[in-house]
Amino acid sequence: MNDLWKAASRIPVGAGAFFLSAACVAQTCGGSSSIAIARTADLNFGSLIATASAGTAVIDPATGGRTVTGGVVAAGGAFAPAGFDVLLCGSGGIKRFDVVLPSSAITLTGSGGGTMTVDTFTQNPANHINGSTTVPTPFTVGATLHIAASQTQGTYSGVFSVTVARQ
Amino acid sequence: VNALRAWHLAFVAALAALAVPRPAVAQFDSADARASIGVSIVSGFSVRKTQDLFVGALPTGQGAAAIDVPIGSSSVARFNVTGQAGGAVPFTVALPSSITIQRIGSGETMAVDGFRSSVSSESPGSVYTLLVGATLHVDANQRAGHYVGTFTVTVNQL
Repeated sequence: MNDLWKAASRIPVGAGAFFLSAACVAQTCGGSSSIAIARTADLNFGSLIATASAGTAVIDPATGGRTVTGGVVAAGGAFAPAGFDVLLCGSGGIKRFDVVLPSSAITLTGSGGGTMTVDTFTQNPANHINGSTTVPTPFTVGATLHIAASQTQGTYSGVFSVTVARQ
Repeated sequence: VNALRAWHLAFVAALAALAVPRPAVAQFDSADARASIGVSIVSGFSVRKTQDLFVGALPTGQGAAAIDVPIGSSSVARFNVTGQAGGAVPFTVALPSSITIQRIGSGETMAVDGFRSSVSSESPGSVYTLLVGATLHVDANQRAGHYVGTFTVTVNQL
């Protein structure tokens, strides 16, 4: 009987520990997921001038810097990589995760008509990223914007998704 | 006691069997997030030719002459200089000191120099008309024909 009680009493303690850790990170850890992600910043290429020749603008996720190639001229504006916070949920498992970026191009639609594409998404830091169950771990995402020759003026927008997978 | 122990082991095994599939079935090990991508394509500073400098038809055998195309003439070259919308754009204009124009079909040339320019604002702030005149030098025995050449105007936003 003694052994049985020990075994039986271990189960509620284990369950209690599980629920306690879930409650600690309830701000972003939802339900049954072992990992949670929140967007902290959008990807912004700022203001650019299109000329008679095509070109690209690249946001570096590590430095936050912007470089232009070809006929594109940088014209200020608030440019920045996208930012995300990741929280690991539950105490079990290895505390690291991988980021999965879009593998195909994202299309941006302009306020004045016209489209542009964004591809070659990059991240900082590289996979695998060490995470935490208590402190959100940030990572940033940059990409390459393709601007056509004489690209129609306007404000362009689009949406992309990232997936984080616990390792 | 043996029977109790056997039941106890079976009970633990049943609990273990219950506990193991739970995370595998109900727990997700990935999560998604969406972010927006934004960019503004704005008008840049540009210069575009709207009219060539055209001296016109000249009679031959009139001796050496310098034919002037003053700014007020309708023969001047015209350029549209466009700045970023919403404000005056200070800029400088660089003109060639001289060029040569060539007779179509043969090698005879004439010199063009004395390039001069004038800027007027067409709409508030951002669109300007740049007028460019010059002086054409005709030789005394200049061969009749069609003479053409190209010159480059550089505008530099300050």
